Amino acid sequence: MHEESLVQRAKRGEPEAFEQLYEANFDRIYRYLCLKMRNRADAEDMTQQVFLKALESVGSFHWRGVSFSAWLFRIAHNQAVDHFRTKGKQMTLPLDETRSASMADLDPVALAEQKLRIEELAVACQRLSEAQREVISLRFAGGLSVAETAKAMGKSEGAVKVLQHDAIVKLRRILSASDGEK
Amino acid sequence: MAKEFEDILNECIDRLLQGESLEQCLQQYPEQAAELRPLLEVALAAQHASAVEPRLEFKAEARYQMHSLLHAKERRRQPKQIPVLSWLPRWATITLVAVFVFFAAGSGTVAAASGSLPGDTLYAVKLATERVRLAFTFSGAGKAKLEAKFAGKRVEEMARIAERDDTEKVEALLSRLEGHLRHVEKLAAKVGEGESGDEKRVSALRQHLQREAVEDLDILEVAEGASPDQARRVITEAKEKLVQSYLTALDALEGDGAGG
Repeated sequence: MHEESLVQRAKRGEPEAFEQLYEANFDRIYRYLCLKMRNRADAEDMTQQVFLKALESVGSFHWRGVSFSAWLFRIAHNQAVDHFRTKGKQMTLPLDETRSASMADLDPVALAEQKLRIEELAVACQRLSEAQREVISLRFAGGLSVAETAKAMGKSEGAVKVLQHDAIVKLRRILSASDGEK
Repeated sequence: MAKEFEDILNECIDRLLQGESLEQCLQQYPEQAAELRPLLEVALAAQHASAVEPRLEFKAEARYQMHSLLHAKERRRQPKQIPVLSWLPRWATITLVAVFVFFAAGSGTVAAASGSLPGDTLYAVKLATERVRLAFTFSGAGKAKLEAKFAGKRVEEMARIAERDDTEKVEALLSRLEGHLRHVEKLAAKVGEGESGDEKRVSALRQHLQREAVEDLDILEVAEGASPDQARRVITEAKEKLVQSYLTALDALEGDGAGG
């Protein structure tokens, strides 16, 4: 409800309203794009593009059951798809360039383990189907609920739960196999 | 049956995302605990992996750019709301307003604005006055000196705000400071290349920039020691940027650049 009234004010051209929407969504759009792009520089560029696009188009946004956040994630998804279409295959980049919020509190041994996990997980995500990867990105990086994820993906909540379950089972299998190889 | 498990898994994931522990989630579903545990461990790993934080400087720069864009957009809409100026072409309105601010420089309002800080009502007047002064300075060297002076003002503001531990404002000021420093670099490069035969002017600018750099660094160093943790990180970054930019600018003004 709060988001809805901010969107109405942003549509009327009130900068403060758009700024509040920006602040509320900036970090999670960035996280979502980090997981998708696996490259901090691209994620940074694209995060800015998402909000520029949103600013351009907010006037035409209609609250038809899709929240503003879900709409932003759709823009982010489309930008990422366009990016890969133009630039070809996804590039790989060591994710240890990025910092996990929880890392700062870890001791060096735990930090090394955490880094390894992040890399493994990111690689494992590439072996999921497009839809499964999208669910993982939206749920864990974007912090969207199942209902919001369903809206952003244009699927039913039931379908998202099934995708989430399958994605996690598959991730576990991939991660266990890579553990066994060491 | 399978659907029920997906619901339970989803509920547990929601609770993990909200900060509950794995054990707390499993206690709710002892019958499914064995099946749930490995999946929730993967969910936790995914959550950790995704908790990437944007770099502070990127966030501050992006915020500043969005803020400028939004307010520029708003300003573009505003002339329509001033009927008394609506008959004037846009360039004439801007010039009139600029000239008004420029000639008001001695007035109480502008004088009071000079000591204002981000968040104060008069801060916008302070920035507008700076823009007008730049617009009415025509030589490259003069503009470079002004940009360096305004960089110094941002440094002073950062030091004052940092004491209050208002990291957000300190970051915003860092973005503005970086803008001034970029201009100093560009203008110094232009002066170094273009204003040949005027070595006196180049040398005066070099000395001026050296002085500004030393003064600003002094202020930042004192602020660094006196600021709380979060703000101190930004101040340290400002110091690094300042040194880097002034070194680049002074390099551009060195020796052969002015010779022609």
